[in-house]
Amino acid sequence: MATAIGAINVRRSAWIDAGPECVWQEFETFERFKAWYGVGHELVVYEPREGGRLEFDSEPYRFGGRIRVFDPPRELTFEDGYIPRPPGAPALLITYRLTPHLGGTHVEFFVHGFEAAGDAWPDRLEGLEKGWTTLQLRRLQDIVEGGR
Amino acid sequence: MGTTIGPLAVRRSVWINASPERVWREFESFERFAAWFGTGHELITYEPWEGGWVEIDCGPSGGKYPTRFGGKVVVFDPPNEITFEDAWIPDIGWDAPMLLTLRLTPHLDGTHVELFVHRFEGLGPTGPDEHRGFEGGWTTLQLNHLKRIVETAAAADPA
Repeated sequence: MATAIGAINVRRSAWIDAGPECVWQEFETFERFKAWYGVGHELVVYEPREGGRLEFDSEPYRFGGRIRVFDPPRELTFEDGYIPRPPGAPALLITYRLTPHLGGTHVEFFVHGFEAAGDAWPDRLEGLEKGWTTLQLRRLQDIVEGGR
Repeated sequence: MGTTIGPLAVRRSVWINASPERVWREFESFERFAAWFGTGHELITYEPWEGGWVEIDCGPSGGKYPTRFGGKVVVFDPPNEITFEDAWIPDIGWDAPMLLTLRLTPHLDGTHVELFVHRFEGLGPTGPDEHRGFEGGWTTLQLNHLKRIVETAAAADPA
């Protein structure tokens, strides 16, 4: 069953002219994932399995955590918290969801779990809603549609 | 029932520490709507009723598009939703207009305000490319202005 996405979330999406199985190939190894997810920040660790680790550097901080869902070719969900994690600062979650649509794949990116992230969650929502772009999704689309 | 939002949609959101009825006051007149929705582009027309007209001038876009967009208000449902047609003016040949929906939902003693640009699937063959452009272009500028207006007023007059 797909991860539930709460009402409060940051969402970006892209339609890619390829099937989910083809798009998912770019989630299967560190090198392939880094080629698109590692733009705009530096992917440091990516262990593509449930329970694996995912960490990225976005200066001056490091973020990431445990992979909670690794469900080819449908979903990747991982913890998105500060590393090391400050006390009382629960991690958010990042979910990539791939859905067949219009003969291609609708790839959705969510940052969610804000309501459990402490009293400052409205400010975190505002900051992340303003900060997340479509940079990684566009790179993924370009790789899949344009070849490597 | 709110307007159905299809899969291929642009979405931005903000949480405002006020009730939907209070937030909705900023949708009730041209002047109040322009104070926040008219930031980053110029609100030209806003007729706040079903069947009314909304028109925005976003300035030159390098020649690819006209400078104005908007259309008919298809849903005006205080304090829950406004939806208006979102097409270039003059028409550039899409099969059907997109829609722009602003939805207000009570949440955690405040209001979750969502902005959707949707119905890209109805544009025709260029729909996915248009979605890519709009997903990369929309920001939270207008929603953050709405939040500041409402929360600043509430802080000044808690009653």
